[in-house]
Amino acid sequence: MERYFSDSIQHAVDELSKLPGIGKKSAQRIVFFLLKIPKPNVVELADSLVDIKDKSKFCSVCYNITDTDPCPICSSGRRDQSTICVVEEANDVIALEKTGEYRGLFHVLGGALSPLDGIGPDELRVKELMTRLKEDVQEVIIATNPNTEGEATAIYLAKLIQPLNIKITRIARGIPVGIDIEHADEITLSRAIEGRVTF
Amino acid sequence: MILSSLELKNFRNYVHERIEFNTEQNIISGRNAQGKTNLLEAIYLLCITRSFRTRIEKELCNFESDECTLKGEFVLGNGNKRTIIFYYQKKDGKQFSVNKKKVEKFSSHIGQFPVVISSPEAYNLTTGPPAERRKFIDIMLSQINIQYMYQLQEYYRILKQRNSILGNRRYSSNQITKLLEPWNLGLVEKGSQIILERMSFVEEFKNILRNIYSQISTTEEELNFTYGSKIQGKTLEEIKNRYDALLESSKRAEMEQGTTTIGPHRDDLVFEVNENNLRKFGSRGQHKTVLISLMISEFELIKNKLNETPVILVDDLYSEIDPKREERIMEFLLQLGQLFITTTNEISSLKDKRINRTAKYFQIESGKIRYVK
Repeated sequence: MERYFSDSIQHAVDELSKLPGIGKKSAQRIVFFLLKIPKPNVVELADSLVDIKDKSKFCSVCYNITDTDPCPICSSGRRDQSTICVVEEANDVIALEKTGEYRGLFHVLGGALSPLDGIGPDELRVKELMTRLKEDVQEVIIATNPNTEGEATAIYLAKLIQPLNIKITRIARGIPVGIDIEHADEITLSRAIEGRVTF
Repeated sequence: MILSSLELKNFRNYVHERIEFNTEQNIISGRNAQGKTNLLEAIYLLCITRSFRTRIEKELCNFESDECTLKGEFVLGNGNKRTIIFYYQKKDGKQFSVNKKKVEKFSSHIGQFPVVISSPEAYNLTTGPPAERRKFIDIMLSQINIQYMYQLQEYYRILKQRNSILGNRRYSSNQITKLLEPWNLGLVEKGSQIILERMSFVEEFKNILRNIYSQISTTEEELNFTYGSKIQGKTLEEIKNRYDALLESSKRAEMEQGTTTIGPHRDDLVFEVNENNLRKFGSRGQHKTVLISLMISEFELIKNKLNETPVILVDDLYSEIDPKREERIMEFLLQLGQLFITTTNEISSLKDKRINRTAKYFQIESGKIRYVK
């Protein structure tokens, strides 16, 4: 078969299609788009990509990804220092921050327990969490994902924290806002009933 | 539910065929390897989203094609029409649509278009290893209870995670005990629910099955059916307590074998005819009668739970069954619902039978389907 692309284009397509959510076709579209726009724009894009690798680091307190250490959340004086919300990934911090509802601190574990992938408690930032709990923390909200691995991680953390006499809570699961009960699927509904709260 | 027509394109040994069915009885005749079972497979696939014969979906396509399509027109019990399309491409896998709307989650499709089947492959169910019988009960419960399917998936996921800890030779037994702890709670939780569901299912199913067996069996035999598990109990609480205790006491065995030794993944269903274990002592005819009874019981159960009459697929009904029993079975099946029966018998020999007078006959030869008057 004839080769369609020059080596440089092929190289760019191969690199782009390694990214999550991007297949060969999307990669091609991006490459041809980049060929059309002025060079400074492409340089700016490339620089910004290198920049995130150079400047981003983990916050030494909560392990969120940040440019400054400690991160803006940890160093803010207006956050409730007595509540820590434990999440799996830095993405989850962004999602929870967008709500504007939560005013406490975070702790990023860096994943969930999954022996199949060789991830045990030592591979997560559990020790670091336990060190933070020695300070004046009153509540730990466990916000790991509601799947098999996230649940096991939640159980593990709860058992570990229990002796410290700190309030431990788990985020609720249930019906998404804006969805009528008749449209929710059976599994979500039965979980919502399981996790019902008293008025 | 009625299947009124079926269209096949590049499916198995078919190139392009379209057939219209009778609402009662459809008899599909042909020599071996002409495509009779492929036709039943196509119907099953449209209803359940997967084949009853293979997991390798590439096999579904015609030798000369990279894609295949099935289109079935169904009429539900309430009179509503549903067109199900199955489209498979070797590159991108399978897709389903119902009335042109794409099916996003296959699990939501299962149970909407109920089907029961009895085929020679089903012999494994009563003669084969326990895994076959667990598969049977799991598929049936999943069709009537979507929550069960979800619990089963969760359970097997936890089991896999847990076994990867037990199978890791680098850990000391103390380390293993610690690492297992966060998984045990979920294991017992989901496992107990599965056991409870299966037990209450067996209780309910047992009576239907016994009743049907005694009606189609020509001798005075009694069929018994029980759920075999080390973890017994009447309520969820009882099962959980027993589970916890057994998990604790099997710690050493687990570590020695490097795998989880108790739980619903090790349980079995036991059939007994006149108190003799069918798997060990049953005759060929007894096996076949139990299998047909199982299919009919499954039919009754699904019909009651889903309020929709399943279509009935019988692959190779007439082999290994004596004419007297055969007539009883046919009589029984006919009052149930729409039937699809394959046979190697000649159509001319079937037409004479009183029981077949409402049937529509199809002759299959090398992937060509012909309607026979």
